[in-house]
Amino acid sequence: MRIFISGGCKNGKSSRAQELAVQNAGAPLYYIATMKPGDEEDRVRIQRHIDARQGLGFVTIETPMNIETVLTACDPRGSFLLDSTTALLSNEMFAGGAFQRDAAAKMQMGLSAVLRELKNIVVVSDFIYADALFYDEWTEAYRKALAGIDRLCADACDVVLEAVCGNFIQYKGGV
Amino acid sequence: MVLIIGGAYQGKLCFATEQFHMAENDPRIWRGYHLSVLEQLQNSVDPLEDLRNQIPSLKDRVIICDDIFCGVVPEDPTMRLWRETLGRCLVALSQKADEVYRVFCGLGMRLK
Repeated sequence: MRIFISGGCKNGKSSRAQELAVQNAGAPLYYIATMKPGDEEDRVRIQRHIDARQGLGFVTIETPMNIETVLTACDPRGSFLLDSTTALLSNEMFAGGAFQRDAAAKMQMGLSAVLRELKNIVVVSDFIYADALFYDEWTEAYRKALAGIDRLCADACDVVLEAVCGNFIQYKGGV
Repeated sequence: MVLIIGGAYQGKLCFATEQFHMAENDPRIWRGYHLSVLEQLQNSVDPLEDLRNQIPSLKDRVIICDDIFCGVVPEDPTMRLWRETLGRCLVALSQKADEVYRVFCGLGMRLK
């Protein structure tokens, strides 16, 4: 099953995504790690996620960019957890400190291939679209691009969930 | 009257055209209601009073509005007033609306 989860930060998306990936059909169990640690705070966050996955049997695949490479690096019959498109897009869009204008189109293409080839995958994103602010050009471009990727995922997935304080609203399908 | 709310770039217009079989430029669709309210505030028009006067003429309209309510309280007083006033306007609109939808990642959920 292809499952897409979004929602505000700290609403329980990653924990639920892990459970769903474990329950999902397919083996082996892959964790697609997307975060490039920038500082100590990131390293602590990454360690917390590694500890949480401990004992669940995930094979970790470091893929901070070029998501389509998981298709050659992994057995496509596996159960995949991609956490998160937010980090992936940020890595693609601001790679090397410069704004990459074609990052969104490139990532859409890679992710489309991944969602077409992999039958069992849980994808996590972040809902960052509901505040009363006008952002700078780059942040706004990032928000717009991530929303496009969210909609692509929601369209391609069998199940779409929004996390609210550890509860999940089903917009599509059922788990 | 139909009210469609949702975060920025969630596909609200696309949902409206599919759900109600309308063209994107159908004059019955009121796009960016949140921006109309901001403009009114900047021109010293009371958006809530204006809305009350307009309600009878909004019967066949589809009103599309960004949800701008989930962030930190804005530092800028105009943005703060915008957020508060738009919230009140949407509650009023929602009460009068026949149907209210929230669009999330391109998928609509009926709230009323």
